[in-house]
Amino acid sequence: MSKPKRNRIGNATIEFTLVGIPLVFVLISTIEMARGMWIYHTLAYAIKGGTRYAVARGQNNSGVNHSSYQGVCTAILQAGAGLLKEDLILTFQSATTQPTTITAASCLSNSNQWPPGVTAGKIDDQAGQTISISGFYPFVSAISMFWPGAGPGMTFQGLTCNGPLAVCLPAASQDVMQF
Amino acid sequence: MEHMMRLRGGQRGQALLLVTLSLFAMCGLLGLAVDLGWSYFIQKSAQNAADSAALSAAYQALCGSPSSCNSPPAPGETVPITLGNVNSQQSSPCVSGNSNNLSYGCLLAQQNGFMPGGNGGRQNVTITADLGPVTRYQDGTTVPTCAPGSGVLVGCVEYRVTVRAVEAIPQLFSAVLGNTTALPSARATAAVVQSLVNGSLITLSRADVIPPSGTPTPITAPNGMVISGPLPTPVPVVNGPVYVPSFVSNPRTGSTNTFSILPDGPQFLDPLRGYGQPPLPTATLTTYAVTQGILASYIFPVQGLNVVGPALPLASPLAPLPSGIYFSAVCATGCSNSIPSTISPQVGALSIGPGGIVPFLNGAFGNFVFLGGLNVQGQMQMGPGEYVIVGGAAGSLQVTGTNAGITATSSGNAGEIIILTGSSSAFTFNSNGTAITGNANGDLYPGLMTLLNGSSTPNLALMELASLNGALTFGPANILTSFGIVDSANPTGLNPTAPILQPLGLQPFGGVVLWQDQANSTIDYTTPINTPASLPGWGYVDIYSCGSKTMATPCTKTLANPNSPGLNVQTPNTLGLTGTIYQPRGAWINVGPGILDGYLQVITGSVTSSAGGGSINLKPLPANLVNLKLRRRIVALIE
Repeated sequence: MSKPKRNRIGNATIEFTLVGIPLVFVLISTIEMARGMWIYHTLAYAIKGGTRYAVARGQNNSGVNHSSYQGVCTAILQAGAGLLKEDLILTFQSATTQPTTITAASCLSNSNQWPPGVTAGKIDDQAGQTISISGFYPFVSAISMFWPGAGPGMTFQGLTCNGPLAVCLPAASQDVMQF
Repeated sequence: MEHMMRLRGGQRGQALLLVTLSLFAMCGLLGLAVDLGWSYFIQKSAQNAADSAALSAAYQALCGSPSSCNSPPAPGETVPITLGNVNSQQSSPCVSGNSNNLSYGCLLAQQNGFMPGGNGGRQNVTITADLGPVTRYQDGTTVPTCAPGSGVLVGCVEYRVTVRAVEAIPQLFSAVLGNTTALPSARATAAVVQSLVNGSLITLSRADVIPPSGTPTPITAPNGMVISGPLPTPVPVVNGPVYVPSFVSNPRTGSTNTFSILPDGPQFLDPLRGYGQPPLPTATLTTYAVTQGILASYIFPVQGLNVVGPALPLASPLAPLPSGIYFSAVCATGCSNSIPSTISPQVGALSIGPGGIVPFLNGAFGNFVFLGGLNVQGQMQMGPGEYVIVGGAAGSLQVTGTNAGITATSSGNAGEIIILTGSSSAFTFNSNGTAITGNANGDLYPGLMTLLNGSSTPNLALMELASLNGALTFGPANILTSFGIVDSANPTGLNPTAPILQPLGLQPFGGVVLWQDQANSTIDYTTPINTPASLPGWGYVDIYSCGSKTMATPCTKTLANPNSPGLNVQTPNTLGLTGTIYQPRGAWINVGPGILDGYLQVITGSVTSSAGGGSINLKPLPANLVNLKLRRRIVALIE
């Protein structure tokens, strides 16, 4: 009885090494997948919140109540708890205007009216017009540490969607101007 | 071995401690993932339920029927649904049902999974209706209440419904850290709001009405032209943006006007649908017989067929004519200034003779009804008021001749509304001839019957006039003016911010200067005759009574005078009207030779230029008259 036992000494280490690497990989994958989905859903929820904010503040809101880039982005960041404004790239599309793509950070300091209205010679803020906001949020996973030469793996700031092994999480919301 | 045992003995229980401690952290993380995620999901569901409940309750308040406002009320839906606790700041529990608009909203919330006491008593839904302003929870901005007197007309709340939906969620993992319940909640406010009507020229007709061929060109409409149907032929040159529904393509590719194709939707329907028609004066008006129909001749107050007072002063200049019902008559027995006699009504338009100047009441809001049409060949000086022109087979409103025109002397900027109406077929009487019972088409203007029958006693003179065949038959309106006095025909639409406020019922028609009755269209509008006197007619295009049931092919009717839906405009310089010209779908404006020019917003069935050489130039309202821009009611989520 003692003989086989002695033979197995050290096996645990080897077995753990063999099993542990995939196990840790699966574990980290699970966590990272969950984290990715969490960010994706937060992003989608935030973009929808921003669109809903904008459709209720169109042409009929006189003066300061017009929705602006600033206001929409504030609404997006309020709804999207944890999203970093430097990393969030937003594309604003209204009925008759070329889309604008900016980061949420620069959007926050842009007080121009959006969707553009009569001051910009546009009708995009009239009730019935379609607007859409789409957003990209980079997601760099810790899984990349399993990939040789993949770079730093998890970082939290200053990411772009073009970064090494970055996955760009997209979300979009379209709605019709209400008011 | 003994050494290991000793070590082990020292570490015994440590794993238990570590696991126990880490369990709390794990519960926290699991709580974040499971409980918070679930809360977000419930919050989304609650928002959906609140949105649909608030929107449907507000829609019901606007339309008075479960149908959406984009279509007419279905048969059997003509009784407006009652409004729930208006003016109540109290949140009331949401009781689903069909009894009023709020309960209907609650039904929608229930269908979306939220009801008071739902899901094992964990849900609650409250609904509040109010007329007051809204402060948005999200950014603290305020949406004010519409107050015509104070100038708040657009972007304001007329009626609103706020719905809050909440659900208590027992926590699975977060409960370990002491957080036993989460309360995701959602709030939505939908309101009946005033919205600006955009576009200078809005043509409502689809492929249903063929007016005399020809198109005015060019059309200058800097605020845009909204064409609801196929483009008129020949295709007009339009200076300004053009908006068409998606089934129309631009035949002028590369031309200067911008051509936008929008999905076929509410923006291509009558912006004033659902308002009904401007109500006739409700005040008791004196009836005046005008001898030979000339407004500068003897004008007697009459009751029945008897003259009951002296003639209005006819000194020169003529004293302003008071509010009243005017019709053409001849004296049956010797008429003179102050001797009572009897009169008999006659068919024919009232006229203001060439060279004459006839002023109307100024200083208060006047109510004038002209039976048999109005023919202005001299100058009509209008005070602020409602001018109803009933009938006129030869021309409902005619402004013709050199120096003929309508000069407004509006004090307090209250403005004027000219209503063109009349019967499209002969009136019918009951067996003993004491009351008008309605005409064959049942398309009389709301209130006209009351006017003719008299509010308390039958008005014999008016009934006798109506019984003369064709006396009140509607004809086309002809405005052929300004051959001499440029800018003189200058009535301005009702000003909703004026110090002299027009009657409450007219306020939705703020900005309208010329209104053509919906009965005088080749399209059948839903019959306003059945609606209670206190409510305006529905004013929806009829798609039910003939069974065709689409907005593109609605019910049509044949008019006694096939040209009656037309409005003929021949002005060499400028028309001078300011505000909104409204014609129903199925009517048309015939321009030319000359131009239809002014600070105008024109809603019409279609435009034509049968005489050729016509053009349209619609200028945006000047800054001091911007409140005359037409408004429509919409239902919208405002937070």
